[in-house]
Amino acid sequence: MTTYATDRLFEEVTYVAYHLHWPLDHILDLEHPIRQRFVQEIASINRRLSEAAEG
Amino acid sequence: MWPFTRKADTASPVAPTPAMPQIHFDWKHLPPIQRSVAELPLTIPTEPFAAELATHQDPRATAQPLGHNVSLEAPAGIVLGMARPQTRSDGPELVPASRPRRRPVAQRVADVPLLGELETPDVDGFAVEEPPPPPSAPLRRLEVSTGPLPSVQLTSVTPDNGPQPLRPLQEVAIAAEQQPAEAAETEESAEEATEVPFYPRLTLGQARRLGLGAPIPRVPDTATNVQRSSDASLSPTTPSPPSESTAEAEEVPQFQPFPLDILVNKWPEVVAPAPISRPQRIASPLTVARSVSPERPGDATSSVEPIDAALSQPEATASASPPEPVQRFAESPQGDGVTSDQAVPPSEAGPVAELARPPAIVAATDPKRTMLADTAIGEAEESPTAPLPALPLATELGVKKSLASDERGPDVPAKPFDPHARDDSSTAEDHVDVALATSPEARTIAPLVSERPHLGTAVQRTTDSAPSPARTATEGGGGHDPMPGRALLIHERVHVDEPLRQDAGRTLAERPDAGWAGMEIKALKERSVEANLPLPLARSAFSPAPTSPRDQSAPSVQASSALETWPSVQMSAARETRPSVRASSVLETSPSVQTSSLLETRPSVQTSTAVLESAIDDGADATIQRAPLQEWTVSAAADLSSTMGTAGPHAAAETPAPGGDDEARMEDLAGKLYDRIRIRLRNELLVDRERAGFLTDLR
Repeated sequence: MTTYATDRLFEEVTYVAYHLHWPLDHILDLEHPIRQRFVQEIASINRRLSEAAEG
Repeated sequence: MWPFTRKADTASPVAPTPAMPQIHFDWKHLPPIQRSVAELPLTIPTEPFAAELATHQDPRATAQPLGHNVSLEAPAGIVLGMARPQTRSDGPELVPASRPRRRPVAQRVADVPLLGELETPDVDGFAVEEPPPPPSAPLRRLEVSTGPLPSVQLTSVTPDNGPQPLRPLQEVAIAAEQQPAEAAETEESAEEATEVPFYPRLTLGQARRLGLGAPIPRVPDTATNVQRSSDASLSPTTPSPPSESTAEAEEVPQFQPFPLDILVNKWPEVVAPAPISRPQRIASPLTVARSVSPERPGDATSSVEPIDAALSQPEATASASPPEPVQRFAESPQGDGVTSDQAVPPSEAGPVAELARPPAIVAATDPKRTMLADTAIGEAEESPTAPLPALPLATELGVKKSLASDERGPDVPAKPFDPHARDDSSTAEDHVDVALATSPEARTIAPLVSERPHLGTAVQRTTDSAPSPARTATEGGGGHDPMPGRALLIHERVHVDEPLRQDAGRTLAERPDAGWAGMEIKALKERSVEANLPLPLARSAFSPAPTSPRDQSAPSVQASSALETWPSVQMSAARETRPSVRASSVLETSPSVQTSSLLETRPSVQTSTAVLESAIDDGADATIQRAPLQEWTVSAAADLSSTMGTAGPHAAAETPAPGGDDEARMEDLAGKLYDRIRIRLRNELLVDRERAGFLTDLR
């Protein structure tokens, strides 16, 4: 049986809330794939910014 | 023959046979026909479907985990498996946001290019450089003591260190005496040796800057002297203002010896008394009482009876006035334990003083008034210093009546008395009031009667001490009437001594009614006296008219009221069947002369005495129950005989000797009664508890 790790869930919710400033309820209403997608998008943005800063 | 037979062949010729078709078998030589359509596909393939069917599976593979593991090591219940969550480790990467690092302000200022340097921008200036760490403070290394910890040495008490005896108080006192002188010397030397260090005094401005107030001058080193001065000011004999005492203390730092300490401790040289104990030493009531106790030589009765003089010492107001026995008794400090114990009991002084009095005041020896004197004594026992309300109240209505009776004289016969004209609340003390009114001394006696009822204890004491003074007074004659003393003794014997004496010789079973009857009479008498506390002079319903025939019949009032007062006495007298030893003696002690005079002047009294005599002739003992009647009858006779001046010397000889162990007999009687009552109550209690169901053994 495979479950979603609680720590991982909190980490993703916090990540989204930190960058998008959404309320907790809105973030928890997201489906797992959608939340993961938002996480990927935020990570890509940050990656670009960091690359731009370094570059 | 048989008719059914075959017909004969005679008639038929042989005919021709038809031809049979011929069958050919050529087709057997033909080839088989070939398939023109291919094989059709199956909708459900048979083999895969058959493989999915459970019945086509091997049951050993599926039925084994679902079986029952029956063994000792088998776990309880059925466990199909443990679901263990597995955390997914896959997921998008969380890339943190890159923050632009800021340079320090100083670096940015330093990196700002000058006007001339703008052409060559320094790209490296935007490089992030960490500021240098602040110079850390030098570390301080604490010293670590490696030596052994200091241990407290425990000392054992040696035999030499036992408790030391205290020094005697005299030694301490002497040491304390020598100490001030040495202290004075050492003080001077100490002042010289230890100079007070000089502290620079701050100016006002400096003090204010430091948040202080104005500098105060140096405090004089006189703290101990001030303390001593306060101790010295505690002395009540040498009061001084605090300022003066302080000044004196500064000058002379020695103690002033306390005067009372010198008196008590016999140490004039002791100069260090404890200041705390001084007020306690001052309060010494015994000393003060003894200082006042010496006899007063100025009393008029001291020459006649020293005991009486001793008893009348503390009086201060009645010393100038002629001696009045009742008033003197009232003021005698019987409540003082010291003087009363040392002197004769107060009950003795009553008859002594009265019988030793000259004939002019013989009227004061009325038995009833003697009772009142006892009452006054009882009052004096409680409040020896109480003010005497006698004189102001002497001008009451009763006094007017007494004056009228005095004017009438002893020879004036009594007139019939109208009992309906009196107050309904009149009781046995009414005749007492009248008797008081008939004597001139009643003016001073009557108020005291209202203060305290007649007490049995005082009567007992009087009875105990009565023989010697009464006998001496009556035998010596002395020109006064001995009848009052005899009446007093009769009264006391009948009331107090006789019942107890008779009861003492009998068991409780023999005298079931005697003890209770005596107690009843006693209680009744006390109750009547108590109920009439304010009776003699405070009652306003008493007729004040001195010349009315109602007042002239006062003696008859006395006798009739006596009969009215003790109805239960007469009733109980009928029940008494004891021998009348004392009753006969009582009648014998009453003089015939006075009785006859009573019979002549007071018909009601005659009636009462007749009743008594008849009771005695019948052989019935009316000692206890007849006692009130006898008392009042005899008192009435004494009242008249006191004015007539007749003497009955044989009366003194007939006076019975009072019992000296009345209290012991009372204790004995009480013990017997209480034992029986206690046993009865205890049994009842046990029965009740047993019935209640929670009986416990109380024995």
